[in-house]
Amino acid sequence: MTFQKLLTDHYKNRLWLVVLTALGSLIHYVLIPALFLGGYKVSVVTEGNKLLTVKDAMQIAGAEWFNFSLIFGMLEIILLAAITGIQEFSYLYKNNSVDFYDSQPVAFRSRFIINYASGIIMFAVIYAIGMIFGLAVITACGSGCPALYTGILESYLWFLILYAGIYSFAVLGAVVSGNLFIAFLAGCFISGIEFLFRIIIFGGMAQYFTTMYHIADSEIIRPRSLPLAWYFSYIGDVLSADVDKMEFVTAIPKAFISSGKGMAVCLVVACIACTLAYVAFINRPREAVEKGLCFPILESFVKISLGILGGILTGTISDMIFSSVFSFSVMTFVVIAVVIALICLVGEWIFSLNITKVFNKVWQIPLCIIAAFAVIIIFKQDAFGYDSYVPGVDQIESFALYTQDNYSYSIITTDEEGRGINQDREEYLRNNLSLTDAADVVEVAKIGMKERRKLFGRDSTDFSRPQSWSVTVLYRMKNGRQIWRQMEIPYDIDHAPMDNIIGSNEYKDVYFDLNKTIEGLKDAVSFDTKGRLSLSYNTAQNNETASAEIDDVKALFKAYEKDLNKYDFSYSQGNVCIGTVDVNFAPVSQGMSAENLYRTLPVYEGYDNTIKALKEKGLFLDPLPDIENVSFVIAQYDKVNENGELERSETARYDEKDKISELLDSADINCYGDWSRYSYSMEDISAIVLSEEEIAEAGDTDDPDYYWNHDIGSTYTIRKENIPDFVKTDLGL
Amino acid sequence: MIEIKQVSKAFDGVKAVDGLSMSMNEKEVFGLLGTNGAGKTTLLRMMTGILKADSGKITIDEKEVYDNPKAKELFFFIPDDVYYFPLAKPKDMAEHYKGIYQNFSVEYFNEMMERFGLDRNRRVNTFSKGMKKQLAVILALSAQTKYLFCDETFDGLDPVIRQATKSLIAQAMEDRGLTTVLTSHNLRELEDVCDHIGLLHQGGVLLSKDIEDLKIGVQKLQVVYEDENDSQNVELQMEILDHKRQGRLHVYTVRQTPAELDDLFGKVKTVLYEILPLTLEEIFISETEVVGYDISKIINRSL
Repeated sequence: MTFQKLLTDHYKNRLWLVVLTALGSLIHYVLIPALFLGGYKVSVVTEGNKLLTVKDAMQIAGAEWFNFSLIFGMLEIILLAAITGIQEFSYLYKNNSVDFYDSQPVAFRSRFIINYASGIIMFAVIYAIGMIFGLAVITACGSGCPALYTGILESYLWFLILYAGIYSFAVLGAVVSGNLFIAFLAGCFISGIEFLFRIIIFGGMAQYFTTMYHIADSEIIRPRSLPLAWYFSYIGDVLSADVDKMEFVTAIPKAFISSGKGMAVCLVVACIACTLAYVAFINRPREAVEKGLCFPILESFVKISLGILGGILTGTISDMIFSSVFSFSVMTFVVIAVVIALICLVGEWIFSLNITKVFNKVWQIPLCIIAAFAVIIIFKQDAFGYDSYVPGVDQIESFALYTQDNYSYSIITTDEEGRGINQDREEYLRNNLSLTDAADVVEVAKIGMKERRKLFGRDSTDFSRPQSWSVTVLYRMKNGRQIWRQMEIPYDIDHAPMDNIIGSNEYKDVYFDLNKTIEGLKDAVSFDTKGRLSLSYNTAQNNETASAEIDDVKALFKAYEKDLNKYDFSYSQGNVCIGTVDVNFAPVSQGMSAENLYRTLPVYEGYDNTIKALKEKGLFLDPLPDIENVSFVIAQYDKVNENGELERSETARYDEKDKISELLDSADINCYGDWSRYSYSMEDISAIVLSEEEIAEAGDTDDPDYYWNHDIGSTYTIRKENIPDFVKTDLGL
Repeated sequence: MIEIKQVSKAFDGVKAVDGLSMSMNEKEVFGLLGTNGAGKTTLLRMMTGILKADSGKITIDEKEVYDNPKAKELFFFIPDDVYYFPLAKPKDMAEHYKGIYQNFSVEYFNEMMERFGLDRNRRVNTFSKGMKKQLAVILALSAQTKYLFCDETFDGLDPVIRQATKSLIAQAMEDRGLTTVLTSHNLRELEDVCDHIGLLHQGGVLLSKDIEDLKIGVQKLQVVYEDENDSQNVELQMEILDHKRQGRLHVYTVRQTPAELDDLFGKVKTVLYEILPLTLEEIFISETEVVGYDISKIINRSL
């Protein structure tokens, strides 16, 4: 019988699969777009100041359907691929069908090829036909445009690759199993084991390694062998485009090109799975009908893998619950042993389908316990030196270093199309900060890593509040690797290496890239001419805001750049950050709105040019009030216990100018720019400063709550170490 | 010719077939006999290339069977539990086999379906068990293969159909030299069709002989001596497999030809001397008792 005849014969006897696939294709490419787009009502819409045409609006609707189809399509494909993959080889689960097929004059190789290929060909052909209908539907609905046409073609290719990957996993699961239930579990195991491994190891690292930087190192979790993970990256790029701004026109083809590597990896993975499935099929003992897995060694592999991973996960959680992360806990050991025993016994029960055989191969239990515990010990003891790792100077290509203690979470910049966007500060620094002073970063890192271990790790002896900055470092190595660490730079670190890093032009040009902010604002303003651009100046107590033009921002930034020449680490330590200047753009477009853009810059007391520019704009506020204008000051101390409950409250009022002066001198006016020292203490006090005008308006009372509740006066914090002696006496400190 | 050489097969450590050697000649009906668990089905599944032997070799016309389409083209296998495509009709199954077996005869298939009164256009899943087996035999014979392997095929068939099926097979043997291998645990089932019997027990061959050789070699006779003293002398000259006595009536089962017995008893005065026809069952009992097996515990004596 020719291949074609065998294939035709094959489909005739699996018509329901063909029908199911055709149904999926029909729903995906015809029914949903027809319902979605056919009933779409176009209302008058604006994009910025531009009135969109009906054609644009329908294309946007088409793009919305396309985005939905990527997610819905993924679910369809998972279902179809899994069902088809298992079904194609389900004849292996009954003796009568095995006898029927295997006694026929068809080579096992041919049988595998026919059964495997039929699933792929069926999907490819049916979905291709569906896709053609889909193109016709969106054209008929008026949503057709080159981006969507190519997007549909490209997504079809992705669907095919995703299907091939999941299908191959399902086939592999089917041919190594003796029944449907085990085939389903095997497919899940094959698909998920890498992800499970990664997430458990990541969890362990996150718990036991104090210098691990969780956000960036979450890349560890992403499974490389799972086609779905690569597909998520592709659709993530597509879905992140703003449909209303018609960004899909460039985003769709770009996402496809960027996903080239992912597609290649998925194809390779599918090929590997297919090859393994072929080898398993050829060597499969046909008497394995209704058994668990066909190869006993596979059963052991599955049980041991799950036992060890389950043990590590259990140990990690147990250490967290019993607070024994860096110590030995008998309870953790017991819990690990119990969980592993359960996994192995239940696993044996599932494979043998016979509860009387659960104690077969009990040797696997102690093996898993020892292995899991060994991994936990490796984590606890940091046997591979993760928490003390600092690369060699000559291994580093470049690095990024920045503090986590920061006032600003976003930076105004532009995307690849020149559109003004708010970019996450960390993401921006990660992608753009590229420093080359490797010697200094190594020196700083050695200190920082040790401090981190001392404060949070296994060497921890000091449980008081950290006197350090949380800092993230990214090493870009010469061998292409990227290594992240979290560390604590102590307040009393030697300034020299920090000055070399923070004071370098490499650092400041990126960290304070004001040109990018101007470009972003320009784009936003031109896109939404009715949007509101403003400048604000903020002190610890007050703020002043004024609307602005681009030129105002440029002028201010020009002054700021001059002041930046002074800035380095030592400068930040020796000068107080007396305020922050905020640039804000608020769009007013309805519907398809431009993004709200926001950036904050620190102003130090020595930033003469910036302060002058602010004064010219009428924004500058003195950090402290004029003493002549102060009526009185109320000092207040609230003692709270460990539970946060107020134990006692003491107040003292000062009308004398000399005392007022001393109090104002002691007040903390720090607005906390980068590298500011945080030294909050429970013994800090508050000082409410009331001006003459405020008293005239509100009235005179000694009750600080009155002023606090009515937002009258300016409240300052006086740090414990700066409290004047007379205040200490009066408040009983 | 089918050659089985030192074939073994174990399942979970339990030997289903243990060092079994046997050969099956062409144009014969070979019966494989044994109780459940004797290894009949396992052996047959190895012969049809479904199971792979742990050791040993099975060849059909000098071609090893396992995963060899050239060897598998030579036979058609009817298992005990026949599989049909879900929702298939007999004509669909015929269409399928036509693509698999080059010599499949649709005319023969149609003719047999009509003769047996089976509807080609009716779904097979609506057939009774007996009708499904009939269909299986028709499809097998329509494939026109050189060998036919049947695993307990006649079980479940009514006597009329069973006879009709046997005659079909016999006709095929005569017309085109079909070689048939049948398994059963019913000795009477095989008695009237088989040329050669192989008796399996616990994975091994207990006995493998042509039926004619079995019958020629063993005789059953009833004797009443005129002078009882003559019996001792006569018994010394016979190879006695079994001897029962009821009063003066002696019933012997002996390994002797009829001519030898005629010659021997011609010299003795007897009141009664008669050679009786032996059933296959009796032959087996005699043969296996010699080797120390109580065959009655092995074979099924059901009618």
